[in-house]
Amino acid sequence: MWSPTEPVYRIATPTPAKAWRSRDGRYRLVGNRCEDCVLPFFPKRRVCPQCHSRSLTETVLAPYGRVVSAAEDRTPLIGHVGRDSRPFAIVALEDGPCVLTELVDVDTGTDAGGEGGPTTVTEGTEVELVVRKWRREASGPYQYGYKFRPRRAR
Amino acid sequence: MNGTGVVIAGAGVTRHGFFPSRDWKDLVVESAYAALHDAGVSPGEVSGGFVSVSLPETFEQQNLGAIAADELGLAPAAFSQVGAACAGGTVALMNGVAAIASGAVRAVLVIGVEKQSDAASTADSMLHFPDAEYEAPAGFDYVDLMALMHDRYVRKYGATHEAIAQWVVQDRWYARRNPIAIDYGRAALTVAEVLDSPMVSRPITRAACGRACDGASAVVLMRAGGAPADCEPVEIAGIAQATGPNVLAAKFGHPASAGADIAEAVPTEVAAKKAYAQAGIEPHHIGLAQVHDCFSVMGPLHMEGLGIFPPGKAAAAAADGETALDGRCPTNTDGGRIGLGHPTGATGVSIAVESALQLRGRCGDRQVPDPDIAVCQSMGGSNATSAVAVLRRPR
Repeated sequence: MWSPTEPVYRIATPTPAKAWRSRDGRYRLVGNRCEDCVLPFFPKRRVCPQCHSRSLTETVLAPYGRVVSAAEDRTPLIGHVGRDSRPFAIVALEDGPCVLTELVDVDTGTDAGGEGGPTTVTEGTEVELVVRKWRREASGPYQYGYKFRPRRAR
Repeated sequence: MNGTGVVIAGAGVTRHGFFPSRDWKDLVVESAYAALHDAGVSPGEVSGGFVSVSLPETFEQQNLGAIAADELGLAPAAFSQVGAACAGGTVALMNGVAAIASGAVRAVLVIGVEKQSDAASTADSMLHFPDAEYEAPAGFDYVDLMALMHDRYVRKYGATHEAIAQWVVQDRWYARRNPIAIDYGRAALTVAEVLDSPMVSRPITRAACGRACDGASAVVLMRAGGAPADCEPVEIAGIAQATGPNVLAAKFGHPASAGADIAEAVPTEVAAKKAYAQAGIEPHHIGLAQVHDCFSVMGPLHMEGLGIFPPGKAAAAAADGETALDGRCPTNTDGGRIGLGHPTGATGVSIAVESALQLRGRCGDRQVPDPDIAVCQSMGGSNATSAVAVLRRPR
C-alpha cells in the first residue's frame, strides 16, 4: 500500500500548551469568585462582568448539580465518533455557575424518551462530575475533561 | 434621532448554493459589480469597502479587504476584512454606515462572502466559534448548542415542536419563490417531513438546520441625497450591534442576561432597541423582517428579541400565519438560512439586499404588499453577538 512520507500540511495548529493551560477547569471545575460582589464564575474570569473588579479568587466548585436543559447529539463530531448518541445537558452546579457537559452512564435507548432529551435524564436530574476523554488535540495528545453522570454518592 | 443619513444606493447578490468551480473572488466580483450597476455608480467612485467573511481559513487566505479591493480593480481604495461570526455582514454594514456618516468617503462597498463548500466538513469548519476551551474540544458544535436552546425554549415557554417545525415549512414556501435560493423551485415541505427527517442533535432534525453554502452579496452605501438621481435608494434608518457571553452556559446568571438565559436572544433585544431609537420607530411599525434562523428555533427567538412578538409566543404566532406573506409581519421572505442558504459571512449583507429589494417592490411572487419599514437581524455565535438594521423606503 502506498504510504505518504511527506508531513501533512497544517496551518495554525496549536501546541499542547494551549489545552494544558485549562487543565484545572477541565479536570476539577476550578472557577473563581469576585472578591467584591461575590459572584461565582465558571470558567474563570479575568474581570467581573458585574462590578468590573479584577480581584477574583480561584475556587474549586463542588462536583454536583442538576440538569436544566438536555439534548442528545446523534451526529458526533470528529474525535467523538464511535457512539450513536451523546446525551448532553446544561447543568446548574450547586455552587451557582452552569456548565455545558456530556452526560455518561445514562440510558438513552434508541428512539425512546420522546421529545426533549435522553430517556432517564430530565430537568432536575441530579448529576455528578466524572473525568473522561474529550478528543485528541490537533497536535497529538489526548485531551481529558469533565463529563457528568447521574449522582450516586451522597 | 431620526436615521443615519446613509442609503443603500445599489444591491447585488449571487445565487446561494454549492459551486465547486467558483472561487470566493468570482462571487465577490459578481455581487459587487451587480451592486455598482444597480446603483449606477462607476467603480472609480468607490473609495472604501468592508468584506465580511467568517471562514477565511477555508480560502487559505487572510487580509481579504486588500485582496478584494485589488481583485475588483479598486486599489488603492481603503478596504478591510470584517469578522463577527455569522453577524459579520451586518457589522460590516454598520462599519460602512459609519464610514459614510464620517464624511471620509463618498461611496462604500459592503461585501459578504463565504465558500462553505471548500471546507471538508461544515460542522467542523464552524468549530472555531463555540468556546475553544470548554465547548468545541468537548464535542459541541452549533447544532448541539442550539439543540439546548430549542429544548429550553420548549420547556420554559411551552412552545410545541410542531409550531417550531412550521418555521421550516414557511422558509421553504418563500425559498421556492426566490430564484437565488438554494431551495428555489423545490417542493413544499410539511411539518411531518421536518419532524421525521433524520435527527442531528435532538430535538433538531436535519430539515431544521440552516444550509451552510457558498454565496456573496454586496451593497453600495452613499449619503442620502448623494446617490445618483436615477437609482432607487433605500434608507438605513437605524443600525446597531450588541454582544453577550459566548460560552452558552455562562448566559445563566450573567449580569448582561438580566434574568434571561438561553431561551431568549438578549443581544438582539439590546441592538434592536438602539436601532429602533435611531430610526424613531416602535416594533409595531415593522411590516417585514429578516431574522437569523440558522436553526428553526432561532427564528422565533429573534422575533421575540426584536419585540415583534412577546417572549415565548413567536413560534405559535408564525405557525398561525402571522409571518406569512399575507400575515402581520412577513418574515424571512428570501427563504431564510434554511431555505435561501447560509453563506455565513454573506448572510448579514444578503438580508439587507432582500430587504432593499422588497422595499423597492422587486420580489415577484414573494413580494410583500407595499412594505414601508423592514428590519433585518443577524446573529454571530450562540447569541454572542447580534446586529440589527432598520431599512426604510425613502419618504
